[in-house]
Amino acid sequence: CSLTPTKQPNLQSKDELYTLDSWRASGKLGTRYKGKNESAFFSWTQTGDDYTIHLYGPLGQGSVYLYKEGNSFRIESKDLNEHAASPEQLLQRTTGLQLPVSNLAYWLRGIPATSISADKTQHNEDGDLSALQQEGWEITYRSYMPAYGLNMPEKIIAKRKDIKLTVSIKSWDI
Amino acid sequence: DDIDALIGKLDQFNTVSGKAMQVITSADGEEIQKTESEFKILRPGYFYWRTLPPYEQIIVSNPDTISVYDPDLEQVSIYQSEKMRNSPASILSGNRSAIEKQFKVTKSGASNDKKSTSFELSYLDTANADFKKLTVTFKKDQLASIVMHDMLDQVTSITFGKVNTKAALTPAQFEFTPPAGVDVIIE
Repeated sequence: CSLTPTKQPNLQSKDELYTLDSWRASGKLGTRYKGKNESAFFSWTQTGDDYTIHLYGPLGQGSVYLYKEGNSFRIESKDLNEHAASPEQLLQRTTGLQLPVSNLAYWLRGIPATSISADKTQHNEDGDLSALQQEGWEITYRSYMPAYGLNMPEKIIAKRKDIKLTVSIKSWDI
Repeated sequence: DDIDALIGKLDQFNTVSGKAMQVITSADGEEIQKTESEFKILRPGYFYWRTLPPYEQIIVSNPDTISVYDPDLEQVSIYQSEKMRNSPASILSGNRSAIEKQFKVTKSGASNDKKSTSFELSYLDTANADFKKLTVTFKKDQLASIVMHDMLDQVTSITFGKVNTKAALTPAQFEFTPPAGVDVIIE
């Protein structure tokens, strides 16, 4: 389905979220790590398994783009244009942000990441994921918003050791 | 010189409040984000900027501290003012020395009807600059817009409206107390 949906897709089940042609989530994310707060606006635009993540500040300053093209990852900002083998390491080395990027591609959609085991899953009364544990991360889905026939995540808190990540999604486009 | 002309415009108001519409567009013209804010400024040194939902965020700065509160993220960050990361806010709330220390100012033109005048500002410390150019425009001596171009040619344009330069503002209105239950970080 195209990002400018002529026909609003109406999804029936969460499984369809695994095979979406394209989707975009936009909002804010904040990290708390070792007594330091970082926050940024973000938009995550995904087509198949490839994605473009755009991070920027309140006035649009400090714009950073992280691209996944096949299995190559590139980061671009006013002072950077680098490739790397893993997005997590690339992002942390260049922006200091600790983000489980590969897993977030699934967690943002409110579904467990596929390549790793889901140690604990809890669902709320609507059947949406309320808690999930994967790869040492404890993810809580605080709220959902109706979108395209399903409940899509609106507020997500992910914690691991001394990192806390808060994602506040303001819009979904599928 | 040109900085005197800019200061001359800014000095016509010690207090200003109003609304601001901010639009961020990418280099290829795609709208990235549009937000509306309410602002209050008491010059020099006091600045309040509240972005309305859905992208709610409150920035309160006074000569000592800058507080940034994000209700969605339940985070408050408090910085020391001198560490004010060369934010364009200092153009509006700064005095002459604050602006002189940060920006090169060139008057970039006045409309033939003399109704609007623009100033082009560029950061002196280019290494840490977030923007390569800022254009501040006054219409009939009133603050009209600030347009910022960054190094990736992304454009942030802020248009001011309902500008009131008679608002009675006092420093006490620029204190921020974090709400309960929020992560507060003193940077």
